[in-house]
Amino acid sequence: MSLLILAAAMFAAAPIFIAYAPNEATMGLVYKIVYFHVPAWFMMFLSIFVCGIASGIYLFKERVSADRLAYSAAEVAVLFGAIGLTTGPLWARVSWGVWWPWDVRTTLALILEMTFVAYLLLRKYGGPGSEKLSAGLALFGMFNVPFVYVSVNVWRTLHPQTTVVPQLPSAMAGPFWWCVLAYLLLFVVMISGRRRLEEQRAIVERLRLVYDED
Amino acid sequence: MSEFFRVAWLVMCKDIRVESRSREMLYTTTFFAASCVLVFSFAFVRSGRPVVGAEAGIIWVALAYAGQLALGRAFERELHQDALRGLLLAPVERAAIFVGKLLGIMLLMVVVEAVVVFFVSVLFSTGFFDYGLLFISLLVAGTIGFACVGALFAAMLARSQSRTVLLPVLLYPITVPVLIAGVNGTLALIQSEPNLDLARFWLALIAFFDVVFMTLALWTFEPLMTE
Amino acid sequence: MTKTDEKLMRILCILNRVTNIPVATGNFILLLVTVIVLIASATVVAIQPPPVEEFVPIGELPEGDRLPAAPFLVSAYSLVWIFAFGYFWMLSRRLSVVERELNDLAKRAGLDSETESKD
Repeated sequence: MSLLILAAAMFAAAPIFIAYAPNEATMGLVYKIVYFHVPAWFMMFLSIFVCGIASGIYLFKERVSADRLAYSAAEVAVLFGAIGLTTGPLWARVSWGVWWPWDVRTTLALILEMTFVAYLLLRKYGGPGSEKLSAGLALFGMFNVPFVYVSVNVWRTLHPQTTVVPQLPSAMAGPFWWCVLAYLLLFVVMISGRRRLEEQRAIVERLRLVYDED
Repeated sequence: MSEFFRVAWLVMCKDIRVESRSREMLYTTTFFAASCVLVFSFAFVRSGRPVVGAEAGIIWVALAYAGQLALGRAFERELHQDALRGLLLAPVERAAIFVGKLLGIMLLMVVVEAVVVFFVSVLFSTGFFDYGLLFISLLVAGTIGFACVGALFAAMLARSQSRTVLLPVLLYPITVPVLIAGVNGTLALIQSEPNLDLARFWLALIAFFDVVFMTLALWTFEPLMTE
Repeated sequence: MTKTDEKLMRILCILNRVTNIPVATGNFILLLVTVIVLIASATVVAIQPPPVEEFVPIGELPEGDRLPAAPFLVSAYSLVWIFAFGYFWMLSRRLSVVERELNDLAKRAGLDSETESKD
C-alpha cells in the first residue's frame, strides 16, 4: 500500500518540475529555488502545528495515538526543515552573496529546527517517560513561534544586513501552488508511513511483553 | 488560594534551608558565572577594549549557562532518597510545588546576577545603572522567563537518562526570545545614545513571554509529572 | 462518550459518507489542521510586505560578480529528492526490521500454541 502511494507522490512531483521549467523567472534562474524552498517551509510549519496540537492532546487526554502522530510529525518537521535550511543558503549565496542572510524567516526556521531536533534527541535518549516530556517540549515550541518571530524581526531591523523579502509575481503562482500540493502529498505519505512504523513498533512491544513473561 | 502560596513558600524555605547548610550551589554557580565572564572577555576584547555591546551579551550568556547549571543541580538534589516522589505524593497542588522550587531557583539566580553585573561593570567600566530601574526590571523579567521554562524542563528531566546534556539542548531554543530581548534591551540602555523606548519594548516582550510561559508551565506541570 | 466526542463522531460520519475518508480522529485532525494552515499560508503569501532594498538585486550586479546559477539550482533540486527518498528508504528499512520481529514473535506464538495443545 505504501509503495503505491509513494509511486503516486513521485508521479505528482516529477511532472511539475518539468512543467514550470519553461517558465522564465524575471529575477534570474536561481529564483526558481523558491519553488522547492517555500513549500518545504510551509510543510515544516504544518508539521510543527500538527506535532504541537497532537502533543497537547496526548498530555491532556492521554491518547497514545496522538503521541505517535506527534512523534511522526516531529520527524517530518525536521526533515522538511532540513530541506528548507539547505535550499535557502543555496539561493541566498547566488542572490545576495552570503550563505546566511539572517532574515526573520530563516532564523525562525533554524530555531524551530533546533527545537524539534531536541524533541527527537529527547525521544531517543531520554529513557522511559520521555513521551510526556517531549510532548511538553513540542507544546512549548509551538507557543514559542510568535515570540521568536517578533524578537528576531525587531532584532534584525536594527542591523543593516537585512534581505529582500521575496514577492511572488502572479505569473508564477500556478507552478508554485502545484509544488505546494506535491509537497503536501509527500507530507501525508511520510506521516502516514511513519505512523505505521510507530504502530507496528507498539504491537511488537506488546507482544514481546506477553511472550517474555513465559 | 492562600494554601497555594503557603505551600510554595514552604517549598522555597525548605530549599533555602538545605542550601544554607552547604552553600554548594551558591558558590559553585557564582564562580562558574564569573569564569564564563572571564572566558567571554578573552573572546570579545580587542587591544584592551571590548567589542561594542559585548558587555550586554556577556552578562546574558553567563546567566544562561550558570542558570542552566543551577537548574540541573537543584532538581538533582531531589533524587536523593526519592525526595521528589515524596514531594509529589504530598496532598497539595503540584503547581504550588513547582512555584516553590521556581522561587528558590530565582533567588539563587538573582544573587548570581548581582555578582556577574558587578564583575562586568568593573571589568568594562560600563554604566549599567544609569537607567537602574529599567535595567533591573529587564534582568528580573528575563530571570523569571528563563527560570520558569528551565524549572519545568529540569523537573521533567530529573528522573530521565542523559539529563545533564538534554537540559541545555531543550532549554536554549525555547528561551531564545528571552536572550534576544535581554541582550538587546541591555544594549539599548548602555549604548552611547541610550534608546529608552526600545528598552521598554524589549521589557514588554519579555514580560509577555513570562506571562504566557508561566501559564503554560503551571498548566502542564501536573500532566508532565504524573510518572 | 462526552458531548464533544459525539459531535466529532457525527461530523466524521458525514465526512466519511461524502468523501470516503476513514473515520479516525487522527485523520480528521490532520485534515482540519492542513486546511487551516493552507488558508493561513495563502493569506500570508498574498499579503507580502514591500521588499527592503538593502542588497543589490541580481540584475544590477556587474557581469563579473554574478555566480553561475545553474549548479545551485540543480543541487537544490537534487537535494530535495535525496532528502525525500533518503527518508523513505530509512522508513522502509526500519519497517522491515519491525516486520521481521513481528514474524519472529508470531512464529513463537504458533510454536507455543502447538506445544500447549500437545500437553
